Amino acid sequence: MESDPSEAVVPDMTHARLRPCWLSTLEIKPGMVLAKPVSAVSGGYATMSLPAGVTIAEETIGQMIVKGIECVAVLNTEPMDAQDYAVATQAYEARLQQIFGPQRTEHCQALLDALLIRGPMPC
Amino acid sequence: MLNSENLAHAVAVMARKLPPFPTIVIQLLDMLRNDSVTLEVLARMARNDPIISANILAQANHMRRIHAQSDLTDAFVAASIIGINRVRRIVVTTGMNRFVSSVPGGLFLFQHSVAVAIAAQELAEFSGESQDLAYISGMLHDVGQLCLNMLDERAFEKVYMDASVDGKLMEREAAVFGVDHCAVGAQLARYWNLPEQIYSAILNHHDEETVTCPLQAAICLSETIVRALDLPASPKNRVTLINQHAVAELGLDWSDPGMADLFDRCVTRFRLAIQPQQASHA
Repeated sequence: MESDPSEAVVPDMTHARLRPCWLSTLEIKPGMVLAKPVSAVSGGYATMSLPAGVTIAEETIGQMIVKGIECVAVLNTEPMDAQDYAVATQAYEARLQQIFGPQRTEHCQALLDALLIRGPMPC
Repeated sequence: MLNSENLAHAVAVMARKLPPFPTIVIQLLDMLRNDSVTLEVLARMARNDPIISANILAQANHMRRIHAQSDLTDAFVAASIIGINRVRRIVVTTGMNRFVSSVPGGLFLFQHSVAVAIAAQELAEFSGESQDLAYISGMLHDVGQLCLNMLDERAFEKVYMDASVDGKLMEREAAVFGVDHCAVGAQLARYWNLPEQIYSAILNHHDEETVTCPLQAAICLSETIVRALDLPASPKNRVTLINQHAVAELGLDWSDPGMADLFDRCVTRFRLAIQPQQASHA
């Protein structure tokens, strides 16, 4: 079944622009604030559980790395300028239209819609 | 022309012409099977390999420089800082980079494999499957392309370009070579005595209709996700079909906010993962 591309979702990109930044645990710095909870499990037991809002300390970074946490979401304290993000969004959407093509299945359209709502990386 | 009867023999002949499959990756797979891998054992293995040691040091020192700390020179200390999971990824990724780097088009194949490995690992975490097996399978899923490329580089490139328009890669490969890269890659996995789940994931990673196991579902959808995210950027990236059975198998809902996080994590990790390898290809 194919869907009509003209029915594509037109998202409000403010939320996408201000969303948290995902950073590798090798790139985070003390003082950054977790935007999403972080947890680690080993052998069925929770070995780390940090809620959103926690300020990251130097020793926490080492613990995250050793526990195998690859990346974390931190608060986006320096959001991209709205106009710059609009330009980036335009390029991002144009590229997605190329990747998914003009005639797409219902399932492909669902993935495309999710990616359009997500928008380009804000950081 | 390859066919199901001569495939095993033909792949064995081609495998002998390929660069040797990294022994260290096979050792790692053995250890994963025995569930006995420790950081100390891995770091000792890695110490004997200068490129793997250099990559471990590079990641640890990358972090230390952010924190204004001096560089390390001991790979074992560096390994203990970056943790066992990262050391495992470095062992597999560096081994595969070495394996494909001598082949034309190897850089794209390598970066695509890294992207699929990362996405597969993220999907495995999302759905509670083995993250290590998912990562290794992702690194190996397109290994059959090395053989087709070796058989006829020009024909393979044409097949790939034509398929980027109509999405019929498997049919076009089979028409030109007799079999597709999934069958060749799976046979290579047999030749190397890799685990059965990896064999199945490689064999069926382009199957858009069925699911053989959660690992195959994860590899199949990782292929879709990285092409949708344009990782690595390429005009060949197209999404024309999605294996909906694989979506159901892993319990995914694209509109779930958790999926947007998964996409962001894939992009973040991919950018970091290809940095040292890009430098080594330069």
